[in-house]
Amino acid sequence: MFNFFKSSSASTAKNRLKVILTSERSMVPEKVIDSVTREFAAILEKYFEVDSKQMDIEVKHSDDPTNVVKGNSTMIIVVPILQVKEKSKAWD
Amino acid sequence: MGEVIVVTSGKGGVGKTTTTANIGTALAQLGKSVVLVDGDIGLRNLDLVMGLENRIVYDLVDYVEKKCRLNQALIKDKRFEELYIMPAAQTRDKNAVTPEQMKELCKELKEKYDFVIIDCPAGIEQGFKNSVAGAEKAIVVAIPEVSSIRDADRIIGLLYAEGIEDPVLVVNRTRPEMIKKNDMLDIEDTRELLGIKLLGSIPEDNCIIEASNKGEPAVTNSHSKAGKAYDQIARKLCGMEIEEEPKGLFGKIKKVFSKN
Repeated sequence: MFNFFKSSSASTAKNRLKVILTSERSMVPEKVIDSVTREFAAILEKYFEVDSKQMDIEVKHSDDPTNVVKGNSTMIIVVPILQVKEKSKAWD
Repeated sequence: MGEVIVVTSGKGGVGKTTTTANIGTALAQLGKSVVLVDGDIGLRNLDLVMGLENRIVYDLVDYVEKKCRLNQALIKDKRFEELYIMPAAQTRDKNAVTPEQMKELCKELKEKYDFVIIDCPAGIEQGFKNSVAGAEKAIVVAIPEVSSIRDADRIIGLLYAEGIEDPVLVVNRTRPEMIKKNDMLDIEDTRELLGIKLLGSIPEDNCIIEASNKGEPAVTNSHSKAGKAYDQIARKLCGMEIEEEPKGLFGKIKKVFSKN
């Protein structure tokens, strides 16, 4: 917290690695991962208010035994939902 | 029946051989029988780090080719009764051995020793495949730098493909003062990026170079911080309880009182 005004090369490294590892594990170009994440969030944003800054994406190695689907790399997109939009409540 | 563990990293120079030598020596200190196998055929170094380079007559390739008996290819350590290394051949190349031969070798060794630890060469080719072939567990060594983490991630994917389900991570050469300033990825960030369990972390320590200069693993030096961290890892591998270092003044006081 006290390092707020300092440039943090560690977080730059973390962000760069996150993108490259996600792309290499899924063998999908970085640009595609980026658009998938944004388009996915855009769908959710129709119905929810989402915290786009906290959005996260992870791809598991295809042979990782903790994968839900065996033998394929799995993409996990985390989109924090702040609240349901009034519009979608009205559909109830 | 012992267990076979491969120490690997993808990238070179991040501390595989140091880790192999220190964990092995620490396990021997704890009374375990241990064989350290140098998987880097053509570029052997484990013998040098262990200070056993003058005792080599036969090596791994000689044994696999049945040119010597098993005990002729095992070099006994100077310090510990139940610690041996099997050196790699220096004048042959990585194709001199096949994964099947390595599997056979590991099977034979684990029947006689508690731990068989294989020092894997850098890279993802034949030497890696040979070193992993007979292993049931893997220790991935990474330093908190972008290129090391990227290569480690690649290696983790290949380990899964080889059927090693639960590789564990050693974060090597951490520098607490840089981590504090946010100028180095911390241990948890490194672990989270790679998505595997943490076995331990080793602080950067000048003792490591001094130790390799002398051919005496740092874990035999009670003043070495890295040596202490390797000892903790060895205890973890034996399934022993680890005493956490008390944090801050309050923790230290509490520790003193709890001893009474």
